[in-house]
Amino acid sequence: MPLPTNCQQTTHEYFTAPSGPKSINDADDAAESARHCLPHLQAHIDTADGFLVACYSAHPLVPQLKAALARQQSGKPVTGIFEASVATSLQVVAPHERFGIVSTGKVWEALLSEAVQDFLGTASAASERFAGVETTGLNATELHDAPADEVRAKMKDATKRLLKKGDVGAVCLGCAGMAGMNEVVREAAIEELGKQKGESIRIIDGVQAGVAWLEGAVRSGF
Amino acid sequence: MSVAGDTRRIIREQHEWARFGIQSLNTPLIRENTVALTQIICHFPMPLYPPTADLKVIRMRISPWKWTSTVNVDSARFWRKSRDRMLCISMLIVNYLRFKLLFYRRLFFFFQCDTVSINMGSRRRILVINPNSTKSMTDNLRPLVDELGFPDVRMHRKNNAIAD
Repeated sequence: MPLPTNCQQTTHEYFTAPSGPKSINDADDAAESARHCLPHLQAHIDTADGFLVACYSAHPLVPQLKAALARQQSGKPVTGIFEASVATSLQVVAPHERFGIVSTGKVWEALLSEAVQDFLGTASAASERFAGVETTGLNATELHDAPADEVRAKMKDATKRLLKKGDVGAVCLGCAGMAGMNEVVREAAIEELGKQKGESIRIIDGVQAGVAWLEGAVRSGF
Repeated sequence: MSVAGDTRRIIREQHEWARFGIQSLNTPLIRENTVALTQIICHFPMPLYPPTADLKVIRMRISPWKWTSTVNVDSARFWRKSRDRMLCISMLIVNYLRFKLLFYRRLFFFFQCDTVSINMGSRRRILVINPNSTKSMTDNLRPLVDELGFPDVRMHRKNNAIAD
């Protein structure tokens, strides 16, 4: 007899910055958003078991939360969607393949390239595994506000430019606002590389990669 | 502990839990659930568990052929809800009788615990932080997270798994 068991053991709670930038479009916005968020996150530090910063950048909230938790001698895991997607990409690509990022504004090309090098700790040698960043020119809010056809066209264009760099096995969606745009990237990959190769490209959503990692980390006590 | 010793311990625990109609599968989740459920039955009317416990809801259903009883207990509101209190008392009585009648279960099989359904509430909380101050961006994250839908352990048991 099937049981009406409902053992969902993980709750996902959501926090939106109460003030600060509407859309984080550069490193200054990221730093300012951290200043607006951190005081309000103190209340969650005791209650939450894991933290995901949903901004695709080397967002200062990640180290700041880690530092706050370390002060309390707490080992609760913290990650950002950028860190989670890069770590996931490295694990899913084949040895000869690289991963790349499709992001929003042009400014992110340099910022995210630097962030990948810092995260991997490899400086220029990062290019062996990292194909680079290509951008759409639309910011996070424009991804939703701009006409759908324009967004699709720019996403596909950026994806194709990334794939042209060669040996790209994984494409990271480089903005939290790109949620649900996997299909556009897939279409671009098939158009650029053909059906078989295009369908084998891994599309990494940082939010899902981050939640998946946190789930495992919290359960395992990492 | 040796395999034999471990097996003996599991069997001993299963006999212990079987008194309450619950099969211990010796997994942390089920063991915790079982302990919590046992607390309700054994320690009544003592305070069931501290308000800070992770346990939020316990649902226990005893369903002999034509009779079903369900107990829902919320740690925060349990003592304030007389309906829950009465249901728990009735569950205590039923389980006491079940224990007493186990030796005669061929005659009194209608007291057999048929299914046990327990929802411990969430034990882990993951906070997804949107540092942008645009609420709609946060709303767009929810479907992605829900899509993952990590399944947790499911518990199944049957009547004939209860040890005499």
